[in-house]
Amino acid sequence: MRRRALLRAMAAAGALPAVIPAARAAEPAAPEPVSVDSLPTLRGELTLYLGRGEGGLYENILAAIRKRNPELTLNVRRGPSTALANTLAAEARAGRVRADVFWSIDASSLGLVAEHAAPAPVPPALRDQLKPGFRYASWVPVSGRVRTLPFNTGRLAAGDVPTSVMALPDTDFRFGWAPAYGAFQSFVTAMRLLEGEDATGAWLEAMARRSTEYAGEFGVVMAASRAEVDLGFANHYYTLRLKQGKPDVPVDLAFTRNDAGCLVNASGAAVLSASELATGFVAHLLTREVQSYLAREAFEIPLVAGVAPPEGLPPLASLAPPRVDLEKLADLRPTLALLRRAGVL
Amino acid sequence: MQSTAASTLRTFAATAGLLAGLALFPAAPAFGHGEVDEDMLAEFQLHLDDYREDVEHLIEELAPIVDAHAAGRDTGDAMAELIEHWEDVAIHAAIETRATVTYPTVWQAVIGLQQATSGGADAAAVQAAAERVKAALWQGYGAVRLAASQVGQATAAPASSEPPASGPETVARIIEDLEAAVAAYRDDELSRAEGLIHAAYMNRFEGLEGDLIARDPELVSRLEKDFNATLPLLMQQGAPLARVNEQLDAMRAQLETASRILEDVEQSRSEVF
Repeated sequence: MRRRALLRAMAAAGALPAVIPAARAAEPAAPEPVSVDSLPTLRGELTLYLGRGEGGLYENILAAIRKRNPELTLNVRRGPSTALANTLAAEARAGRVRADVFWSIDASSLGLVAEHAAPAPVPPALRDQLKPGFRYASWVPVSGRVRTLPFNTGRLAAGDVPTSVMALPDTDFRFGWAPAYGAFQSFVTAMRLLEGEDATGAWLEAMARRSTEYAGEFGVVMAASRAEVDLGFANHYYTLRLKQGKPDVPVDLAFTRNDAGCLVNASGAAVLSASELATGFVAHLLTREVQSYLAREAFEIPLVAGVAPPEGLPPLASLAPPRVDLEKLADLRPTLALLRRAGVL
Repeated sequence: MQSTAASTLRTFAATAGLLAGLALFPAAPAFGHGEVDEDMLAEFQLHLDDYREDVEHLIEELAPIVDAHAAGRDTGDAMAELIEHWEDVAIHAAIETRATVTYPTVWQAVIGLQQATSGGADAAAVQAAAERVKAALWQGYGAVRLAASQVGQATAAPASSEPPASGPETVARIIEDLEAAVAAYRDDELSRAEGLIHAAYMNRFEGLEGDLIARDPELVSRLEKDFNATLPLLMQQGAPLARVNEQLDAMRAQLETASRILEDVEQSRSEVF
């Protein structure tokens, strides 16, 4: 209860932005990212609930933390982020939260935990390392991914692509999308929150007439590269990975501005036991080394100030993500209903 | 092949969308992405009768609580015992680890009953809260049964303490899943065969794509098409078993290439610190 009271007080004081504002052009000079060498050694027993994601890369990070901290006993429970968040909410209701830290691949699960499991407030020492706009009250964003419009460079130039996602139905482009993908459904959820249900439903219906469905978002990017479609919808990393292997592939990324088309979603961690050990563990995730590793190996966007983005992606400050409460992206039920009504699912 | 493939993909998209929806709504027993623990599932099959008894015993404790509350007696101790028993019974761990989506529902119902009794709710409200506990327990039991019934299928485990399989290990499991799918097709179990292919793609192959894309994007693209169109379409069209096996062989060869790439990727991965 004390933590809840503190959260309320901090929120009332306006210290805790709940939304990601559009990146500001003139941000203060970024502080130097913290190196793992400057962190104290982790000692003791810690239970982590880990949402599955990023193949084995999160596991590699855990292995590296264990190796560096031999006196740390790390118990890990793995599962889908949503299921673990539901479990934490239930455990909290019963007064028996078993996790010290929850590391989730999506912000909506963290929002659920923030609402129901009373995580500890993020200490200023951690919060201040994050880029402006990514400083949350009760969870720590670790890395991000941005929605993009991969397009075929033989058929379109970047200037041909509207900067508003809502204007796409007015073009004569052929589109590719993967409506079964969670990332696509989060994008539609963001549109629903930003533009309303009617506008989103009309957008889906108009787009469905000219869109080809693919099972996955990599399929969308490949379709754009082969000119099967002119433009698609996908998270940024598929295109970056493709271009890493085939630099000359005729596909590039376009970004809309201030709408769901350039939504930035985040993975992150919540501290549930308010111990130095739990906070120290999360501090490891924000080190220059881990942030760079995620950018280098997973093409994730570092959210700690001063760490370079993955190669091929514009700096986050040059993008204009929408003001969306990421925690509300969990509300998928109306989105699925809209997708079904529009005949997309 | 685009229009036919699009139709097939639409079917898969609908299935995946349904799965996504189920995963979010605790009312439905659903399972998220992850690795299958066949031994544990088999163990659960052996204990289904015990789990049923656990549920029945817990439910037997509800009526006395409802009656005592209606008679104006204190139910604090009985509720504490109910919670303690719920934490101790074997089905607790089974629901927690194999039917995670239903697990919070049980807790919410139990705590709801505790709040109703301690908060002085009327008898009808307490009775309703007890019914919710009963329903949640049976739902959890049903979800565990469903999980146990899927031994041998590529369904996903919702929570585990085991580290995930390596890339090459995952590819080996995908090949096993595809072989099981072709066996199901041979036995005229088309929907099971399609389910196995879809689960192998969504729960296993998807997690490998990232590392493969930079090395061999065409391989990923071909396999995506094979998982989502070529192989299921052959089955839907009633192709001869020999033709389906031919396609399986082609996919096995591509997956073996993927396995070699993943092995190389894992060996050349940079250090974290």
